[in-house]
Amino acid sequence: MLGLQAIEFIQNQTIVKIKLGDVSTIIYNNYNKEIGKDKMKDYLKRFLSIIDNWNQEYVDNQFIDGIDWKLILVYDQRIKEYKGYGRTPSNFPLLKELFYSMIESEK
Amino acid sequence: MDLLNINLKSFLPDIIDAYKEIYGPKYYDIIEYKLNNSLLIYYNNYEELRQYIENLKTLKKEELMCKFLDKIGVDIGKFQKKHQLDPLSTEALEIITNMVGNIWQCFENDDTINIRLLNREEDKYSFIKKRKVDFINFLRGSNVATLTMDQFDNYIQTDEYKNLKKQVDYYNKVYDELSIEYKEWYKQYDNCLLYINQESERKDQMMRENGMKVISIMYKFMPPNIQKLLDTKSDDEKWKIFFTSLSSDFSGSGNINYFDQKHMDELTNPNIELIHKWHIIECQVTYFESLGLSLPYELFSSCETEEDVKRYLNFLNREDMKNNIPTNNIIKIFKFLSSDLYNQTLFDYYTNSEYFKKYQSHFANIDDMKFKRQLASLFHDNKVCVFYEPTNINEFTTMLYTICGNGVGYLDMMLVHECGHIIDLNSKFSGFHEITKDKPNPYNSKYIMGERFNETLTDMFALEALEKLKAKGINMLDYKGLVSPMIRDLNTYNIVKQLLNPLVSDFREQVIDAKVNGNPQILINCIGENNYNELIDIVNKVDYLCKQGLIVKLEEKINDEVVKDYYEQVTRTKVVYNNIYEYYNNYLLNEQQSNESINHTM
Repeated sequence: MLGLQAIEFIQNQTIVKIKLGDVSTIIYNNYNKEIGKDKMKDYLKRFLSIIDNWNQEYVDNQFIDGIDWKLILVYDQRIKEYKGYGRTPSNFPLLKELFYSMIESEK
Repeated sequence: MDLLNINLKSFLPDIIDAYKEIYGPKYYDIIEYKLNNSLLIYYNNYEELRQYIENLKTLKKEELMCKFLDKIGVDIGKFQKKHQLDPLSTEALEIITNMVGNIWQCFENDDTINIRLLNREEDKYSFIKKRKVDFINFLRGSNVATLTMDQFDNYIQTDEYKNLKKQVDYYNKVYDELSIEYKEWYKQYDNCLLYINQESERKDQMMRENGMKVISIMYKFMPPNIQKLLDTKSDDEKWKIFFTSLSSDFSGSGNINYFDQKHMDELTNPNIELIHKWHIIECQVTYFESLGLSLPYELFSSCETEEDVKRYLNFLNREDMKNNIPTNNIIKIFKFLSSDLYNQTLFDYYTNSEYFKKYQSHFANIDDMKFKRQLASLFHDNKVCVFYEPTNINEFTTMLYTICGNGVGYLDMMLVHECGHIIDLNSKFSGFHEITKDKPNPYNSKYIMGERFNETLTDMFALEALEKLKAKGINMLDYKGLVSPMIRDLNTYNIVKQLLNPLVSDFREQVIDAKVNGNPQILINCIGENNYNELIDIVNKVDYLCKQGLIVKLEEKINDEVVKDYYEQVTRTKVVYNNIYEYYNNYLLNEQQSNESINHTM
């Protein structure tokens, strides 16, 4: 969709995959759901707003057992990765909230 | 179990026994002292708790729907799950979908499920008739001719249909019984749902208040023409002008931010994907439109080509638009204000939570703002971790523990793993991991050098402890005592653990001694410094390869560079172990000679 093919989010045991197209698919915990184009555009607007100010990497080794996470954007020509260990952007829960609402509303 | 109030201390006696059994009598005192003298903080984040309960709901629905299939005579043996936490088979899901629709819907949106269809009268809506026909075709199976929409009215007069309907009535009866069972089961989370709603409202309210504060301060900096437009707007309308999200959470970026130089440059940059340009324009247009500025519809109805972007930029450059575009100064003030007040809201939200209040008195330096912010940030990040911090009653260390959204089948392991860290924690080292001074991992800058090695060993011993606990039938936090079949790949990879198996079995005593005392030198003395560093490097490398998809590639027998690299590491590991055994034999010989010489002197 407009040069973006897929979004993949991995955080410890959580994996969310979104394949974008005329009909997009969200894959979460082995369940697939389809999302129509217009609804997906709304989600994408929220998604891109959340990550707009993010740095590529967030690391804090001060504490043992940090959260290990990765967000991958697969474009037509390249891949962009945001990742972190032990630290997250301050609005990180919003991203999870967004995925959660995508899954919930599509159930 | 009350997920809102879990007493972690109550699990300690069993965990202590398990570690004592693994580490041996030499460490009984240290294990008891460190674990019994630690502050264990249990807290909850409502978003994660909600996700955790959602995952339990899916699990329960799967269990009940398998029961449903069994009761209506479907042979479920052929697609029985090997493990309760495994996903349902495609075949089972297909039957369930045909019977009731998506499994997520089960027991919640009962009126719309397929088995209810035949009792629905309103056939004037053709889509219901179509669904009925599809459902009947599913029930009749593929051995008979497919029923068409045109044949439906005649078919429902037949005896075959009457028998089919009786059969479906029975399905409904079975389903209704299970539905009662589900609702009874779900009641146990009533208090959690209440907590989730209360917390969500508390956070929303704080966000809303501070978001409106940003808007009211920004008003003073806006030019008169925009102020005039803002004067006519309600609070909700003002919110939409300034913030990209309609929810109360005003983090991320406001619409105004999309007028800054970075975003304007992106609009003209040929290397930026169209999706980002579309998003920037969407946010800018929302700003204009929410202010009430009329814009030519054809410009923004869709921005799906570079030409559309150019047209939009030409429009922005029009003389009459210039006064409407936020200035750099306004953008700067907005960014500072929204970020500052957002962080303040989060800080206030977490430091006023019941869990924070319950434990804050334990910390001697809770009045130190830096520490308080750090602690609030740990709560915000939903961290499960251990850390040193002086407490008022001289507790050895502090563990933060919480339920993770996707923690089903992992909760006990996470607790046992953290207890392993507490046992290993010393002033500079946590086991083999030098907390402050270690160099970065060369393959993955997120980690420091000894971190993966230490984590893998901690997991290996934690798995042993967990096995002992489960063998005794001890269940602490895991739902119905279920342990995920993926447990060996939690936090660190099983494939890496296998590489360290010879070390843990042949040098077990030294590994434990070095780990518990936070003194890697104990192990280095026996296996040699080069070999020790080689093992750390191999662990770091293979961990990195796993993150490049090694496990899937091995399963699918793909032989690419990642897989080749892995096999090189396996060969390298064999060489390292040969060197280790050689080094150790020499070490023993030297020890023997030195003992003999001491005895001789004596």
